[in-house]
Amino acid sequence: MSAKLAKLENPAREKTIQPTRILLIGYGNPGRQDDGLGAACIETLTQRLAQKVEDRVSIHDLSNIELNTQVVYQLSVEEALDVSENDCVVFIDASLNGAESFEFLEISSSVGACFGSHSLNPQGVLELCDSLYRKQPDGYVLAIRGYEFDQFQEALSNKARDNLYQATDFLLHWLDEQATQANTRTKDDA
Amino acid sequence: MKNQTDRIIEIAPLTRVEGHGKVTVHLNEDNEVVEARLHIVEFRGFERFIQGRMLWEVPVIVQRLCGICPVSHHLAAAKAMDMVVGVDQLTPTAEKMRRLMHYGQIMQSNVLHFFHLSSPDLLFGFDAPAKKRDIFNIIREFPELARQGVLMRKYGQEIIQYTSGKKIHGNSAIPGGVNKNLSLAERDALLKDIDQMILWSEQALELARDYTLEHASLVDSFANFDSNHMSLVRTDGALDLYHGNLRAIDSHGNIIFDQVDYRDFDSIIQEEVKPWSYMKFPFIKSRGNVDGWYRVGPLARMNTASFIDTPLANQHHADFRRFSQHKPANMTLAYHWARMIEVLHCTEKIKELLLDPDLHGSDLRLTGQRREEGIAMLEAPRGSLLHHYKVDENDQVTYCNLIVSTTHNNTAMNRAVTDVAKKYLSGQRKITEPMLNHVEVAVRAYDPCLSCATHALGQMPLVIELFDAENRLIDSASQYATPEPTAP
Repeated sequence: MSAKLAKLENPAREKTIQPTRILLIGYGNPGRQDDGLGAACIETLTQRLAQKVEDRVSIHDLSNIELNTQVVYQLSVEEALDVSENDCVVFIDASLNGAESFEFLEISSSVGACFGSHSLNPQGVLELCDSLYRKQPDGYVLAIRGYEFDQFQEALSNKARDNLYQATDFLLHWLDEQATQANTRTKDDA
Repeated sequence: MKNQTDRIIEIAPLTRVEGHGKVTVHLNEDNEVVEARLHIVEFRGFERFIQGRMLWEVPVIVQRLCGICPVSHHLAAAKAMDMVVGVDQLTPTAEKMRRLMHYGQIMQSNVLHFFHLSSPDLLFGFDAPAKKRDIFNIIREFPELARQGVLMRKYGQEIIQYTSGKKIHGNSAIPGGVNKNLSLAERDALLKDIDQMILWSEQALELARDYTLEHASLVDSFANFDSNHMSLVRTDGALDLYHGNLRAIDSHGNIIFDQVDYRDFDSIIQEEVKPWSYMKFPFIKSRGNVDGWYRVGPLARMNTASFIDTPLANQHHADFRRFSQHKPANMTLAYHWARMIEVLHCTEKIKELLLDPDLHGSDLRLTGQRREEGIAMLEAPRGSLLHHYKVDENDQVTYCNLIVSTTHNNTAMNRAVTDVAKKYLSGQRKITEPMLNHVEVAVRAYDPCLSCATHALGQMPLVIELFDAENRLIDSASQYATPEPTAP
């Protein structure tokens, strides 16, 4: 069950042209310092979209995108069902040792899928989605570099917070690009 | 005293087990297993983290403890804070909303364990190649079973969302009650699928039962050892997962204690510390630390409960009791059957509650005479969960002690690991992955939640290492690792 942030604004079009459905899944435990980066990214993005903050990133027309968001502690099997109902999914998590400030990587179900109760990875979710529902949405990982994980504390480190804002800027740019592409397709179809 | 030529095999961390843990198997010069130990990498900072927090925020904060069973901690903390705010009996709406949430949580947790974590072992066999024993092969060969597991798990999550207010970090259970009821639309959405859930639960239960019966020889010889068993039961002896009094029985079914108020927990249970483990080892005081250890969780609950108050689950409980000849079942692998009886019970209870108009009531919260201490126990998916707090006159927590299910099962899991290691590893010249998997199967049957660690990308490698008596690494293998995403 996902929260819908942006929907089609033109009901007439809805009958003939399907919006690009993008699912953003932020995951991690916000009570473990920088492990909360995934949830914080969804929260920050939602606020910036709602407030239409355009000081750092210009946000254009998202009307041809259906943007869905989810925040979970960890990825589990039921995410496969939600992913199957979207055209594209971005998994947002903290990174222990990835590049700074963040990495945005394309993933596929055929490489690196693994499953454990504590360790179902994004590739595993795509693999489950493919195997169970015969759907292959585009998959990406947004890995935001974190630094502090060992204490029970609901706060990001300063460096992680900086990385969060850079990653959110990037995500807004990326959504803008997706919307532009969707708009182009819509015009072509029309 | 360990022989100078002893070797140690490490399995760390365990796959398909919540959190982090490792098993060390100690071999002597003849490759005989001397002892096996389950090591828990547990964070113990949480109780200190809670100190100084306001009592009303504790039920929300404790969910940070665990990504696996946050609902159980949410409810246990709220229940303890009921006592602090002087409420011994909730309103019908509040109690039923909490119970609905609890049954949804146990259902989805047990479903995940059976359908997706244990089924590869049960359906493909413990000796099957590691590449075969995973959920992806279950999907290929048993696609309908895998789909049912996903939908049942999603159903449980929806119950949690509707009752707790949010999918994660719900906040509806508050000291003295709840802050929301169930809307008619939410009820109707859940009622639509409940009969399907009951049907699938019973079918899955039959799969677990048939596995146990068809593999009776294996079940009987695999980590089957006598133990005591403990759980909450209702005053009439029925299974009750949310509230009751403590009952403990020995391996023959004799009552050790019964109908003990869990608030007197300290008078009957003691915790022992061992130098090689972060986790404590609880035992029943009257039996001493050698004989007083016990099991909790689904198997223990099937053994302690006199009956189950829902018709289908009660029939299956009777079957289970006949199978164990009306004595406590001590077979570790019988946990799976017991776990699925509980899933069926939960789905039956969910339907019963959804048809109860009290869920839509508006009398949500009570207050009473303020107390300084709150103690709560409930039966979480993995077993008895205790929360104990002291709160000062400023409503700030001054003391917090949590005894989680996995801690109760600590000695039992170590016994299981040793039992299996001796049977399957002793005398072997070469330790193969299927042999090691037998050890993991024994641990996994308890569905332990070993810690509440982070899981950021890049963590969770599984490395098997062999050390000699002088801790020299003599062999290692990477059995499982979380791969990094591939670059575009």
